[in-house]
Amino acid sequence: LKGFIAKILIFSILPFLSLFWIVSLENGETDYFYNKISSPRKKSIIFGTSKSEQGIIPSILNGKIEGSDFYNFSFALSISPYGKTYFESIKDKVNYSEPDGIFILTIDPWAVASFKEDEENELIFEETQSFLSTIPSVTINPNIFYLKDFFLKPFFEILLRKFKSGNFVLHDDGWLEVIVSTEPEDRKERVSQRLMEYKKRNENYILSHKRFDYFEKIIIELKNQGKVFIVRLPVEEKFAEYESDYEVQFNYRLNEILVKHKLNYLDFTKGDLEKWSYIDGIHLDRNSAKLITNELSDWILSYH
Amino acid sequence: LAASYLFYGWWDWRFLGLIIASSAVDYWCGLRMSMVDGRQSTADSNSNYTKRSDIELLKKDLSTKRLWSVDNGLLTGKKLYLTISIIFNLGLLAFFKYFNFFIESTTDFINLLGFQANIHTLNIILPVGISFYTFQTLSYSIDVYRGKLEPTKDWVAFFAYVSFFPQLVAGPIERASNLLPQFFQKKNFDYALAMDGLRQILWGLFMKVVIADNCAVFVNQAFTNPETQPASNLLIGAVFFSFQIYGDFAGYSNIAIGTGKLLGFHLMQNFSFPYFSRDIAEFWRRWHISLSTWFRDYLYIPLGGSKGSKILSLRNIFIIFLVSGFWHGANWTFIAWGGINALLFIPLFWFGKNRVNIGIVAQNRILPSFYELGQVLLTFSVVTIAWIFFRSPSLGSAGTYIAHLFSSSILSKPVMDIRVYLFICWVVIFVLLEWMGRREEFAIQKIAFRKPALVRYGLYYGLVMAIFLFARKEQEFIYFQF
Repeated sequence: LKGFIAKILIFSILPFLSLFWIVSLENGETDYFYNKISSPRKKSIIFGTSKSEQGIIPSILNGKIEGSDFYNFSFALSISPYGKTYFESIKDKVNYSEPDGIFILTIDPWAVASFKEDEENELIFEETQSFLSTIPSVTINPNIFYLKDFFLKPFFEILLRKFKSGNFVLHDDGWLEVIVSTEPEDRKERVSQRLMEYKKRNENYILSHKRFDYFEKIIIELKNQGKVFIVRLPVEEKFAEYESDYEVQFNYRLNEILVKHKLNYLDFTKGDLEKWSYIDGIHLDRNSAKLITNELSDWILSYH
Repeated sequence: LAASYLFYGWWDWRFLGLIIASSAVDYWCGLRMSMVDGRQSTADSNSNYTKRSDIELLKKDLSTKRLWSVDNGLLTGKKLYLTISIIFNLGLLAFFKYFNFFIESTTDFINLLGFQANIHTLNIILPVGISFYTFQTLSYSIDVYRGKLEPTKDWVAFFAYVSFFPQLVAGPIERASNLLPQFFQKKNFDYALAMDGLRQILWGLFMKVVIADNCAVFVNQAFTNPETQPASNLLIGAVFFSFQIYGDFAGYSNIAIGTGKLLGFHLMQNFSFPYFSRDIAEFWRRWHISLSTWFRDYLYIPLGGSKGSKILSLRNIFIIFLVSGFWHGANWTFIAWGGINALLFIPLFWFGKNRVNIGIVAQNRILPSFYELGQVLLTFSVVTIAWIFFRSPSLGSAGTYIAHLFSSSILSKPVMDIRVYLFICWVVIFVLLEWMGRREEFAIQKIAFRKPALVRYGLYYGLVMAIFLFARKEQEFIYFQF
């Protein structure tokens, strides 16, 4: 029996090594998130949901703000709204050995909202079903916990990407660049699909005090490590109408936190919303992402 | 036994009660039948009594012991316990698997007659593996009744036999005469058997993860709104489903049998390269063998088998194919699938050709003759068409699928993801490996045995890597739902 087990173990080494080698070839074209949860701890980080993941480009910030080393650690609305799950991941991702970091927290009403029926019950927050609440670490490489259960596609797709590009690239700095058709008809369909999602979300979601509390806890945690900036990214006019339903309560609570912690806030929804281009009404396209990140850099520099 | 119950309870512990109840009923019935047998033999051996008085004595004895009574001078005690076993097990199946089907079909029929009926169905969860373990326990009771098997008094062994975890949820449906005695044998680690088991597990995983799960992607596409797709898509969908269902089910059987070997158990072979069959009769001797032989032994032969007139034999054939279809699921599509297979089988039976092709094709040759190749391809084609009924959600959609399949667009370029060509290559590799190993229990059992170890281990390495690289997330086995 011992010989049998030894033989199996020895035989297993090569396939596992081969698999990890193949996974190491992942260049951000196969999985939206893998490189984010397998990269090391970071000094300066951007937090938020998919709007931030696609809308803020760390390399531009790094180019303009001297000595910074930004990383985009934003995910998606179903994964990284403000709550315990994201808070724990953030603590795991921040490099506490390097002080004077810069942290950008993006926020909108959806990032601090939850199911209408029981919006303060964090046990039913939707991100509790996501990988972020399941995997024990977001800094190990290879992240076998993610690979085992959550990797988006079969691993052969990593090799396939060497011959055929996909429709997105997760860059080394954590920015997700989405490549979609620019045909007006295709865009129209994407927007109408998003509108349906927003409508549904608007009917079923409500602002959660609990989420705001976690947002504040994250700010307190990060302020010990450096400067914190709060940003709200723009959306197309018709989407902004849905968000406006929450506006009074949202602004009131956010303002309380901003004043209490003396934070700087940049709200792009107060400007010209049609100035930017969106791929589906809420996510900025790459050109607008570049423009907005430039504006953001200048704004941060004015306080730096 | 503990491991098996843990395994089953992991899915849903509430249904453990069901499998325990099923085991307990058949264990008890088996013992009771043996007691009736014991009484009968005591009475038979008592020469002081006449046959009539003998029976009177037994009647008294049995009724005081609350076993059962004697009716019209014939012992019915054993029959009673067999009846209890059958009613209980088939009752479980009827309730959990077929209740809603009967309600819906009755409602439809009443509405068809012009009356208004609105009978409510129940939201019933189908317990995993119920069709398999109820048949397994039933076979035990029937064999004990027939006197082919001595009932066991060891309840742990019996309960372990019913719930043996490798084959509990999707077979093979074991016979007590094969599996039960193995629980009494002392198990010593057998290196050669364990290695053979590992190879079989590896092959089973390859069939499931690489072939079945990846074919499923294109099958799902083809079977969703078939009327909107070119026939070439539907052709790929139908052929891929043949490989999906085979890879899925035979893959599971290989994993189960291989796991059994690791533990020192020999489970029965469930598939024997069915897609190399030269006619439909051979196909059914090679496909889901444990179920086919179950129906043969416990339904077809008791009905008279092929002993009576040709008409009676045809009736019996129809019955077992329809019941076999119905066993797979509570839907008319499964019954239609069974009926089609019966229609394909009957001409062979009528002309006495159903046992022509017994051994494996091209037994002593590397390649088949053109005639054999034609036979194999024809059999595969008709089996594939029948599978369309098995896969479709309704008879109507199966009809639509077939109608659109046979159209001029069959020669057009498929409108599918480019990866379809990659998986066609995988299916070809799979068929080649199956062909090379068709004389064995499973394809890679002895492949490359005479080659250097490097070649052999290279093959295993390739299969493991294929499993790693092509695995998809959470793909359940199709046969878990039966």
